[in-house]
Amino acid sequence: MPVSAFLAGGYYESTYSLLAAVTWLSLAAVAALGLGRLPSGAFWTLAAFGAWSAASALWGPAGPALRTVPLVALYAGALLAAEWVDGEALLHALLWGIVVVAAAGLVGKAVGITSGSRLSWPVTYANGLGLLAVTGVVLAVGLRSRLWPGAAAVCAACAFLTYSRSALLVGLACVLLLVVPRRAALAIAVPLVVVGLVVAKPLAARFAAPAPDSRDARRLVQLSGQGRAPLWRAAVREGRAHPLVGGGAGSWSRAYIAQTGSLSGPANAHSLPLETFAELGLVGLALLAAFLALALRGQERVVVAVIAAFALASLVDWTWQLPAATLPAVLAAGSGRALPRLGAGVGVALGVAALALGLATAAHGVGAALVETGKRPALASRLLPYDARPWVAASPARACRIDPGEPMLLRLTHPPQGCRIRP
Amino acid sequence: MGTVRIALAALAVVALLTLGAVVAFAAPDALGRAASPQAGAGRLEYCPPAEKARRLDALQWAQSHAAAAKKAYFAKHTGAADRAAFVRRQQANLKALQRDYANCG
Repeated sequence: MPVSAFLAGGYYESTYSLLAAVTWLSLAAVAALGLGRLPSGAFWTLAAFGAWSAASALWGPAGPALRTVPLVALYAGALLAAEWVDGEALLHALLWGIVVVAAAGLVGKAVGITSGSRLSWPVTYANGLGLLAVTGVVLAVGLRSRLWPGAAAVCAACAFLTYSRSALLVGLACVLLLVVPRRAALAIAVPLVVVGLVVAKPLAARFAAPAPDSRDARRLVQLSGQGRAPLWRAAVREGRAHPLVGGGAGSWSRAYIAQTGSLSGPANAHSLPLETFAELGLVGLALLAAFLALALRGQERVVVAVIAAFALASLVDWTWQLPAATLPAVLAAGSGRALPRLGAGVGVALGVAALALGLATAAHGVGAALVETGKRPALASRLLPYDARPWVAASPARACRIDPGEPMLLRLTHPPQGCRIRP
Repeated sequence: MGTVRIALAALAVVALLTLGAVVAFAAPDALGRAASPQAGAGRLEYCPPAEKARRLDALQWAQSHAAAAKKAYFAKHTGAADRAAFVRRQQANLKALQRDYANCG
């Protein structure tokens, strides 16, 4: 997890694909030696979610759909690895890994490694770093290990300096979930929900209203959603157009461009459930909900709080696309499971499957690295034959033949003409 | 079975080492770029590759066509209020394009 945090949060396609490859190749070696355990139901649901994302290449754009698969493979691999190690030790390692990242962020800010008023380095997205830091606070308060007040203070300072409203609210709620007895928590939550319902309409109007982002502490008292409402509307419209199976993994940004005619939108819908509904339909949404339910089942309170923090933050942000922010919840979900050991035959079968997945994600990762650096388009195209991006700069006509809907093609000309003017 | 298991584990380790070598040889900048403080998940999310160039194109296109568009509009509309409103809209559009470009990385 700290590795992904220091690699721009693991956001780059090459980074998460190569991390997935390393994870699965390591799992292959461990499974082959019979040291693993049988995967849990949560793992199989996440694997089914990944398979459904891959299958969506059949009805959606193939390039973007297959770009999302290594990310789900990374999460599934991390979950499986977490199920094979000691849960208590894993949670402590996770806490101190987060403390290292949060401390690096604070030091980086102090010595001026990074610019900008909101703290975002090393994850390089303020809300993502905020979620990671509040996860650290939740773990510190929940585990109460040695030096926990210091760990909590470092993470809390880091979280505050991101000025991330969602992360701070979610962190506060999850810490309360940990320290307040269950009955008292219910007594607090019920009036809050009632008040929330009463003020929902005016709050929604303020949330949807456009407002400039002050990018400093003043934003903590602002109610604007910073342009999320149109992104969510686009996701709902795309989901309604294909309610059962969605428009295909990774298709939301194309749907947004098609609906609004604007190329200035972000790459993701800023809401995991809405983007899942838009891209993978009700089937994808059901798989995601089942994964969360199985991940939460039978877990300790601290693990529930970590997963809840991620799930709540994902309602309003693109944390799923940021492995550094998602991996803590996935690793926590795999901790503390009492699963039977792998038999020799199952170990070999799992090892072969893990090796195949590791090699596939490795090929994808190398191809993505070549695309990102703009080198060797012919080799990149051989590794990613379904992807138009290697050819966009070198041969737009060829890119048009592979995927005429590639948004990078629209960005080549102004006014945008895409493949219309190309032979 | 034991030989198969050891062979499979060895194959996975060899694949891991090969992957490291391939990345170091074929695309050494990829991970280095992600690790640099100048990398930005947020920047890439809101401003994907080629978007900055597109925004610059849009700005330059609007700037170079502004005078001609103004001339064409003024030829068809003689009212002072109409002309002032057109100039205001044109300036606002140019400012928005400049802001879009500045916000992109």
